[in-house]
Amino acid sequence: MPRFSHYEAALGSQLFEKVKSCRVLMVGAGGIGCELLKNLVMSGFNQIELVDLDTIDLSNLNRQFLFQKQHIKKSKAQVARESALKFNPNANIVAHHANIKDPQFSIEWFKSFDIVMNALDNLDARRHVNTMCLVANIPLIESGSEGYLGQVTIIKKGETECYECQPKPTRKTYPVCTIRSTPSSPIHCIVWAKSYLFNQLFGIPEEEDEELDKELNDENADEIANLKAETLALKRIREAMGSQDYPKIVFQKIFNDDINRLLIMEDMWKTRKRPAPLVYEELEKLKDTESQMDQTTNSNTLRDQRLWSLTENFSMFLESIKRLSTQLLAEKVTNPDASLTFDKDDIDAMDFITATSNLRARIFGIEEKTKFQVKAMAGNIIPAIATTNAIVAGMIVMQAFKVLNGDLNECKTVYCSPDRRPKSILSESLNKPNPDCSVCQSAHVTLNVNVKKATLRDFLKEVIHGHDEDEEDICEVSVEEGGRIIYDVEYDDNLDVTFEKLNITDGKMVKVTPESEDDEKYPTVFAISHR
Amino acid sequence: DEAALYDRQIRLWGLEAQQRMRISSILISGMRGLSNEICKNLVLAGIGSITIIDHNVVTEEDLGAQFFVTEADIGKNKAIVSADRIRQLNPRVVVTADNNDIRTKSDDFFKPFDLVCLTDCDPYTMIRINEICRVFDKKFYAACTYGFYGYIFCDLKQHEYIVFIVSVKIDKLISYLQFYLTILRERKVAIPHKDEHEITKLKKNDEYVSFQCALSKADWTEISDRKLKKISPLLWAIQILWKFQQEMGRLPVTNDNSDVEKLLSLRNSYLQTIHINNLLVTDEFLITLASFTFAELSPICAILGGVLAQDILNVLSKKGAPINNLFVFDGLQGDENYLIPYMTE
Repeated sequence: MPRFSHYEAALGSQLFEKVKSCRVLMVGAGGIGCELLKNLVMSGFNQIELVDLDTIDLSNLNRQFLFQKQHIKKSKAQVARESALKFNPNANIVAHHANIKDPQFSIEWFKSFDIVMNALDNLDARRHVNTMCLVANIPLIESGSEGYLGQVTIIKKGETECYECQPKPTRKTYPVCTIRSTPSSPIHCIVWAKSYLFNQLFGIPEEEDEELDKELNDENADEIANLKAETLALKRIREAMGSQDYPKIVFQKIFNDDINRLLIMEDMWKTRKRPAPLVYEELEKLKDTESQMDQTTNSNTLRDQRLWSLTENFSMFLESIKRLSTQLLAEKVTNPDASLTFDKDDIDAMDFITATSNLRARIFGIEEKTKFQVKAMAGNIIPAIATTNAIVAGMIVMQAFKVLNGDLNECKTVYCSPDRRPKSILSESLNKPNPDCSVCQSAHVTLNVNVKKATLRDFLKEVIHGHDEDEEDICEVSVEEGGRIIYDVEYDDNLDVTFEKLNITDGKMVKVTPESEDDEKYPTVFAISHR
Repeated sequence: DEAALYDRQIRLWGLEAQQRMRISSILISGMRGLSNEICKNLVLAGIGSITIIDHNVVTEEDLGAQFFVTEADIGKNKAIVSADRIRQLNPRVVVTADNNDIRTKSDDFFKPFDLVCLTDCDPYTMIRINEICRVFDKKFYAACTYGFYGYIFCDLKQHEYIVFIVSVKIDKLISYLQFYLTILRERKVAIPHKDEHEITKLKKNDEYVSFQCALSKADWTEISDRKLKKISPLLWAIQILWKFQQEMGRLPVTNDNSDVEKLLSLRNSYLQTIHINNLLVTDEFLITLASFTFAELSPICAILGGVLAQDILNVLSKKGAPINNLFVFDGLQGDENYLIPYMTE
């Protein structure tokens, strides 16, 4: 075909044949995904399956070029497929609007591919795909991008590091006492507004008491008790939602009463700046005075990008709490258990979070933030642009050529950073697997089993022991699934329960670790495949 | 709502940079795989206006790397059919198509643009248009991909911009280690063991040389032998290609033995003139490059197009160090790309 004449010449007919016939799985159809799909289709890849659970949002359109305004709210996977087919109508693209962790994407399904390419944006899904590819023994091209930085690497069982060989930094969490009593930076106020206040008022309040108990020690017993009482009082106030006084009641409690109670604990403020509670009536007066003066009306967009005055935060608090209350009460009419979940793209929620976190910051003498900034911190927004994703996607395909050609030793981990000089694209050799990695160093076996009939005892007898008839009852292993212990030397209650009843179904992973003193024994992971 | 659309990128380069891009006018010549990528990236970013110029018609080979054209467009003018699809990417950008040959344009044609980017262009035209840009104070870029290889040349004449330097306090003895990291926004960079860091804004002003000047560079003695060995042979090979084009008025055809001979002899004489060891550019490498001159591969276009578009955006927004002045990319090696300043006295 003339359109692929360049590829055939450049890659050679042998490799090009492989490209044409290989089955590719693409996980993710977002920033990297759109660029990658374009590259794959243009480069002659003919059998592509893609999976994405997300729908299209306006903020995607600055880089996910397969989508336009008319596609907003539609499935990313479906629309990506439609747009990409325009580049080559003869390509076979199957789109799944689903979560890659769904059971339908079993080990057998993964095995049907020659290569898997990740275009994901979260740790959880990456871990999952990493495990599946290790078990299925399929090469995985992993990638990521953030702002100007991008990276591509290869994961192949037994030959390279897997995704979990190196520890990944986990999201930062803050001690509850810092959030609830002694904030010292803007992020503390924002987390307070989003995770505590919003949830207590409008959401499903998490077991706050449990969180508090975790941090209980000799010194803060008083503080913990105080915080528990605070939470209880706030729960009660929830019942007053919808009444005329509701905003004032809430304000009074969180920005005045609670602060005054904190101030009683003198020790807390020996080295810290004392918080100054806000008085509702004072702010109300201030608001009235200011509204009689000249007001420059700024457009909505600029308002998001500048700091709000005390009265603006106050007004916004009153406004947004009314809007959110109205919304929740309306939902409760049809569903008494309704609750609101925080969504960074929900204007009312963001107004509320911004106003309340700024008011709290004011009380504690902390720097306030614009709504634009608050949104980034509350929503964990990662800046993203088209160019970085385009470069990353190009690098993915270049590596794919090498993988398909069997040149794994030529593959590298590639980093791109357009503003680094003199080398903006850097590559380093792939690392060998970490011998202590609990994920890829386990032996992976696919176990074909009828989960409705087979019991744990059957499994231990037939599979773990093999043909040995000597050991009868005691099997010196521990068996785990999904983080819970199914069986060990001291816990044999489940021996005669079927797999199904133990909730060990198709697609699950069962880890069997020998209880030996011998350090060299590694666990074996059985991937369950129901027959 | 523009702020919502550009939210994720404004968070990276800031509102001021976005506004500068919004009022910029770009000219892109040559509609092939590389320029498809450049147009896509610039239009998505939200520049003010873009004019695309190409006098050629769509052929079936173009379908391999140019995603703005389809089978139904074969035989039609490239610029005109691409313009519609480019517009759809971002209706806010004014897209103009010109189906003329850029070589027939008068000097005045280039006046209304802030930046000119030539792709797939011959050295003679590159020299001429570069000179025009210098006269009118326009930013100049020229780039091309040859199969797995590619280059970006730029002449910004004189460019003022800011960079951010992060200095990190490493340990409690207050010893500062200056990492020269150019980041374009005041965002925190993940550096292990940091206690606190300071970000200083630096204003810089770089001078560039013209394309013709760069071509005539003969003194490479400022680069040590050790460094020379690390430089990709592509750096020299591209220039040999240019010399071939200047002498023969076209690109080499590697099936033609006399072309190959000409190429090799040009290599010999050129490298000798600049006192570079002949062995640095092997026959094999040069002939391979020459055999790819007409080929365009989507992933290479994507990588080079991404680098180039980002550089253009940085130049328009005056934030971040641009290429100065030649970037060569070897897609097979993956990381052999060097930025060599062509400074002459």
